[in-house]
Amino acid sequence: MKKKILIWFIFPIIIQICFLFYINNIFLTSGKIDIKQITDSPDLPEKINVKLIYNDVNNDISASYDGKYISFLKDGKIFVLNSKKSSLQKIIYVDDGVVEYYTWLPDRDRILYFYKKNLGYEYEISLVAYDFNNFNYLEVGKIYVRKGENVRNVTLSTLTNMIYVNIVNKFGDSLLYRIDIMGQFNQVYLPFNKIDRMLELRHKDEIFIQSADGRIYLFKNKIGSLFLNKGYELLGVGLNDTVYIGKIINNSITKIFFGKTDQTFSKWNVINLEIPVNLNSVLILPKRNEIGLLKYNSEIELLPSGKVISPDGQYVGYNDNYIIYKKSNNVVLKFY
Amino acid sequence: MLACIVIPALVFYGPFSNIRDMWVESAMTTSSHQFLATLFLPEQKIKSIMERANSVIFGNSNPNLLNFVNHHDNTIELYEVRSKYFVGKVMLIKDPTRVKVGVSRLLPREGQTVSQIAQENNAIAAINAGGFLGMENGSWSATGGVPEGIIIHDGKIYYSDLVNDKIKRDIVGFDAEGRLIVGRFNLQEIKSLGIKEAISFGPPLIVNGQPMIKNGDGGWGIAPRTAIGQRPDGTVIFLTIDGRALESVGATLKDVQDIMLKYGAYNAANLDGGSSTTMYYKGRVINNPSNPLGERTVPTVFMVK
Repeated sequence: MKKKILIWFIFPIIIQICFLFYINNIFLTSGKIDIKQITDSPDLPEKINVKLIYNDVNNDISASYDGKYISFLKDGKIFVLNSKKSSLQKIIYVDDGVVEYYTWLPDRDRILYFYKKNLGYEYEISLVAYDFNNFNYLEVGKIYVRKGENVRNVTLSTLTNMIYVNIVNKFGDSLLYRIDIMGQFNQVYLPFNKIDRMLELRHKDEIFIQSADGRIYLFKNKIGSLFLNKGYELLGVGLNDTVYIGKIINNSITKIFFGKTDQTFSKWNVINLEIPVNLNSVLILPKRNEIGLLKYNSEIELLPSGKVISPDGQYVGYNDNYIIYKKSNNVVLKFY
Repeated sequence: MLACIVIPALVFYGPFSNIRDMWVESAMTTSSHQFLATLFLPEQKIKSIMERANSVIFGNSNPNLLNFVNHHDNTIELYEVRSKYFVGKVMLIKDPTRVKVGVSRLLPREGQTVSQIAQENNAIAAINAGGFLGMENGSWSATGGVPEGIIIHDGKIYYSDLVNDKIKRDIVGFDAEGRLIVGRFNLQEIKSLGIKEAISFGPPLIVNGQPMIKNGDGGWGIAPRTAIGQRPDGTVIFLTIDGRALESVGATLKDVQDIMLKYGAYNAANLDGGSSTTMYYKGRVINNPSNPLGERTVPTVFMVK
């Protein structure tokens, strides 16, 4: 009996006192400050080859802005691999929950992810950020949804600190929320039911949304207005907020318009494509505001220069610095 | 269960005064989390802790004591500072006349991020600067749209809440020769000092070579910090210390003063900290702000043109 009291009562108190003693007398006392000069960070590597240590990874692979990490979502968990070592860096998972959506921030080694938990009578979706530089989790906020409602698309701007999340119900209807700098979820009124695509500007709180029936709306500070009627497709947005919109004829892009929201659409620049292309083969590479045409799911031709980025495997995606390719069981990041 | 009872009892009424004092200072210097101290300790005890810790002497810098020759050296050096509980970045700017105040173009509606203000002004480097009111129209928003004190840019008063000549405000600014001026001044004094670039924040940490915190830790608890200083040779020191993370919990004002002294600062002042703490260099944020998307919006920055 005495032994049990010792284990269950005295021992934990001794541990707590030792912990507090360490914090009070060692950790919080001013000590040595180390100084180290930082040389200008070297340019990002031209090519990074990562051996996939898992066999059954599909093509839904992302990379951090600097290529230090690659990641994929599997069984409701985010697997993050260290590119240099081709080894597992971290698995982000939630007890009793599943990660539904994640994205890397475009300018730092930080992941933003949404996970969902079943509370029985409703579902809780939480937004969390994890930073690979300081190993810190930051919970942004929560929202409660009904069964069958899932996170479909997310856009964000690290300059305006606005995150837009499209939550879709079992009928495919959208609920759009704007999450502001204070972590508050505010619903944005939609003049239509279903969201097809979303593009957020980087420098101001403006978001283009294409409805499922093909109309393009521009929302400024949560207020939406019709920007273009049917016959156009949102393509992408550049680093300087140049927006790219394609003209669709017979399900193919025939022209690419590009301009800024402070100009009327009639004054935007236009590139006529010699051969109409499929919507998914137009890539807007944000860094230098370049238009890329993906050919044979590998080679990328840049417009209007005609410069070609030669492939290094099967095209998977891109971020602000790298084109991502998959080559047998390797992921190749090619700086562009 | 046991820990929930024993730990608060040991911290607030036991022998661990460093933890207790740090907890109280950190809570009482926020506007929305003071209950974390008042819940556990009587008002009198909190008052005595705050009085003991908050022993910052006030003083005004005298620019005439600085006699450097500006060689217009364009060099910028970057350092990492690290202690047991914080990690920070120090930037040394050799030519002080390159340092200007950058202002959110959205004022008085809202602030902008440090990156936005820097990019729009073609600045190579920047740190957040002046403070702002968190309450706007009766609700907590903290978008940086309502600055506190004064903003001077290119010799013009861009914003001021100094309604008459008698009111003094903490000023952190530069005159035309690039001399850092810190202290508490009224409008008349600001004009007579020829201040060309300035914001309001404080407290001054080093004035005319003398540290302002002689005892205690400054009384502001542990948090992310931003500060600015200047060496006798004119070199401007930008400092940010990350916080609210396992790797770096933050720093006290005394820590900031110690770093500035280590870098040979002759004058130095604390700037807005917490989630605002941001250092931008060559197109990206190089510290780890405690905001989930990296940066929060602020009214002003000190930037290097």
